[in-house]
Amino acid sequence: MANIKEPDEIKMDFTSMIDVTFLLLIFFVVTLKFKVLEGRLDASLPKDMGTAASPSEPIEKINVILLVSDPGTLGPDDKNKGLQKYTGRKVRYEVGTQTYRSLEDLQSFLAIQDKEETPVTIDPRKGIINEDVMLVLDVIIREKFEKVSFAGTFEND
Amino acid sequence: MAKVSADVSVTVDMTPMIDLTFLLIIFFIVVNDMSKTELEELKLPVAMEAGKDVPPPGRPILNVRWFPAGGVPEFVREQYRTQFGLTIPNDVEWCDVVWQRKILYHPYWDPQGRADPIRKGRPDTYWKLAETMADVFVPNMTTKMDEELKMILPDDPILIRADRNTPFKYIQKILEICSREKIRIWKVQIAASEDPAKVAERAAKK
Repeated sequence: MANIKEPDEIKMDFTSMIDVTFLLLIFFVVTLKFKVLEGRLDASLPKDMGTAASPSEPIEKINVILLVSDPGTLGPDDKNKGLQKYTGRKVRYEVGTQTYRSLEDLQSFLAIQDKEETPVTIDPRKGIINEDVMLVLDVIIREKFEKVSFAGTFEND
Repeated sequence: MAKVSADVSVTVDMTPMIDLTFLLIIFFIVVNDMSKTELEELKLPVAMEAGKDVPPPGRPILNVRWFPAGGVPEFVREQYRTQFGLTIPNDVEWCDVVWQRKILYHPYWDPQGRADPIRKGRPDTYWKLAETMADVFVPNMTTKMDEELKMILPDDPILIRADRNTPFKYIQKILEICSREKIRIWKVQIAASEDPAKVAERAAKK
């Protein structure tokens, strides 16, 4: 029988494990990107088919039409490198026969309405961009209107 | 004078270092939110009333990217070359809809003979988006009976994340598709970033 020598002590080589561990660590450090803080605004769509108006017309509703007065110019954004921003942009808001030239005017009109019952519809027309709509939606939600929806117009394309 | 032995073998105890390293790794694994792959890099519009978004699991997120004519970044051009064999022309503005890194709509999408269900006689370039909504989004949503319409409608929202400069007609089109037959998603959320002034104010309070 072969003579097997009992080893006195088993030495573990940690080098490769530490190598891998550091590599993993560096990978996660490099790929780490903290979650961006994002919010959202809630709205709802008409539940009935397509873009047909609801058959039963509810009580008085506010239809805010967004129109571009001056599209402004799209140029580089000073605050965000590599991004583009509109400057000198002007949008007007039509509610019924009234025209509001600024968000403040629109807000003071909305402030005196019955907010629980009156549904508000946002009706953006040609040339309106996402930011314009969000500013209006923001004001409507700030004024605590409960029923907000979007109109379907095909004037856009 | 004390006698100093010359051959003292120094053994370094690795245990605390390895402990620390593992702790760091675990920290980064936990913090690294893999779900962010659903969010494309966009500049969202700012809203003061933006409610803080706690993403419910499984909520579909549609990213709407928009680039002015000639302003499409190279990595997007590359994406189109490899996925669609398409070279984006320099003289048109470009808008696409991305869901989980997949492009579901772009302006040159082939309608494959499909017609727009609402505007008769027009080609339906959004059919892929509509199909994905009907086949993937809606079956995974909870439904609720609507008493007024006597119909079962999806009760979960979708989130639309659109670049701040996107012409609203593209978003409107998505809203229109939401109301198509077999989809009928009526809860929509539009992503906005919080007002920087408000964020700064909150930070100052802390």
